[in-house]
Amino acid sequence: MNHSNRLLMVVIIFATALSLWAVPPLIKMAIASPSSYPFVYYSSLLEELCEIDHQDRDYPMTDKSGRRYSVAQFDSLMPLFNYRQLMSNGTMPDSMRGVEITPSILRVNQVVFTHRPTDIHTPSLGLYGLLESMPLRVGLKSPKDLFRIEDRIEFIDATTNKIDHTKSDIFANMLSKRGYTYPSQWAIGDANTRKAYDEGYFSLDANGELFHIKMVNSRPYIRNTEVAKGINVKHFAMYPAADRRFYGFIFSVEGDVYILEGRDGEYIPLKLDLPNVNIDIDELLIMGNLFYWTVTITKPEREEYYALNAATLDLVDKYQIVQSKSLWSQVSDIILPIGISMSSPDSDYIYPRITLGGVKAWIVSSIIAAIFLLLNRKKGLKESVLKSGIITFTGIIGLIVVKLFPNFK
Amino acid sequence: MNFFKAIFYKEWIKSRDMVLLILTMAILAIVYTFIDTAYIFRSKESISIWLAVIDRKIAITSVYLPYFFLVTPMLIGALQYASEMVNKRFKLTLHLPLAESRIIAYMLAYGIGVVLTIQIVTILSLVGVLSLYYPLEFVYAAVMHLLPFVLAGVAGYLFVAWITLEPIWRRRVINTLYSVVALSLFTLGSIGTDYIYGLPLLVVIVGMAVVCAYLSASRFKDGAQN
Repeated sequence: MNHSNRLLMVVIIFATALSLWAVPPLIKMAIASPSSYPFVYYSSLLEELCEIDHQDRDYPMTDKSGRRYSVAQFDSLMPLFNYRQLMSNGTMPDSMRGVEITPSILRVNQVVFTHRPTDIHTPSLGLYGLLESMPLRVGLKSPKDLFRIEDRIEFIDATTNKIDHTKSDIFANMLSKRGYTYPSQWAIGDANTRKAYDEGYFSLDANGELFHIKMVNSRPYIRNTEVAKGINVKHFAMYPAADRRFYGFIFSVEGDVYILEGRDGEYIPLKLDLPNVNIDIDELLIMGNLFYWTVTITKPEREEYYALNAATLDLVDKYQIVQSKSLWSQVSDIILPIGISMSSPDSDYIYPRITLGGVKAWIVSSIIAAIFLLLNRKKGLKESVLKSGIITFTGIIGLIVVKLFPNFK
Repeated sequence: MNFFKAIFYKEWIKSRDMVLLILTMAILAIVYTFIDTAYIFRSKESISIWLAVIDRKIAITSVYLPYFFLVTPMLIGALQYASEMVNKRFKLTLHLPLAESRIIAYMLAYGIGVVLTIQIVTILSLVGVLSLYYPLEFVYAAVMHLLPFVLAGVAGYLFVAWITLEPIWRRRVINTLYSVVALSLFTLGSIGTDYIYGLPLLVVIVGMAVVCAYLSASRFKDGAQN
């Protein structure tokens, strides 16, 4: 093989890799139709999970046995979901299960929480705004500085763009007094001032201990939540619960989900009675009302639904919908021995992700490669072997690229 | 005068007008960033700007700057190599008493050197300007956002050589197609450090682009017919 053909071989490999990245999404776009799952919610009257299809104007609700319900039936079978409609009709019961029902009671007990994998896998600057949690005047005020915490907590004053050493030292001393170990793994909070109250940040230190950090009367309020004694904390999501029942959700390394309740200055984790959730790839939707929480876990190939008792978070019902294999995945099972993608729905980071195709794709590509080698064995054996190697790994796409870049004449 | 200097001088004569034009544009871009940033910080509270940048993932440099980094090297490349293709002048260059790979290396080194010098000086100046107004983390994210485009510029420059030096028109079309696909790999980011794990791949693509440029020069010298 001469010098030029060696260069050519490298260029063919390069072009094949580019084609493997660029071509499959085009084929997918041409043949795939997006699939969606129905909305599922727990009916506190039927006491089971039901599908709701808002597109269906006559019979929007279907129970697990397949029985369909009209709009009026849907409203009254899910009174806590449709309470505003029932209130306006004047048909809302004034108590349920011996509990008084008013719009404000319903509202403060409502929980709507979503988790997407991109909430974790996204670039962060590592600078955070810490609000005053007990402002003298009504309403939360924007902070005057941002803080970083990776190697040491430091507040950067916004007017001077310089470190505020006095404030930094006060917080740093309190953190070390409470036993915080650097480098910090993460700090999660919400510097948005349009919420009802502020609970500062939750931060995981180098030892995996979860700390609560907030500013009260311009002083640091720092506590070790002590949850690390029983939980291997992976991620935390702040949740501004209207009834202030809990601070947010804790996700453990093992895939358990907890809410972190606050009772008299104590931090008490309460486990949701769910199977393991992989927050790196699963989406989570929690819709809670006074009596029940409906949890929807969207996995790559199916959606799972769980109903939990709102007080104890014990499981009361479950349901799942499995997606049938799409036309695109059937096609890619045959034509793609290797897939390359630069992005992922689970992450905002851009880097190559290589996926291996199934046995069928490898058999098909090996057959194409063998035929190619047979037909081209007289045109320089070494090159033909190399090219058929490329085709084995990349299938039809590799064959097209090899044909696009013929050898020198 | 050695060949290295001689080829650099030849390339400089071909491209100096364009280089000076790009340099002027770079200076204007830095001055614009300075005026624009200073104006924003005079008109709003610093903290609200900082928080808005974090919340809404806003770029703190001009949105046109990445495209400046991407496109200008290709203009230099086009000037350097298109002029070689007029009346097949490149043949004369390749007849210099110097290995063909050396000649190509010097020509590419000139272009990449000029491109990188302009881009690095621009970025360092921007770092200086932005550091006056933003904490380190913001400036780092801005640089990390521009870095893929700097590499895209270098790759784009090399792809221009790959396309221009290729003797066969059909292959030029294919090369152009693949260049567009390869360059689009550099522009998938939205903002900030989202390319942090992808940078090694971008460097590999730049390396591949060098091989592509060499292949075309080699095909030109051999007088490839297909």
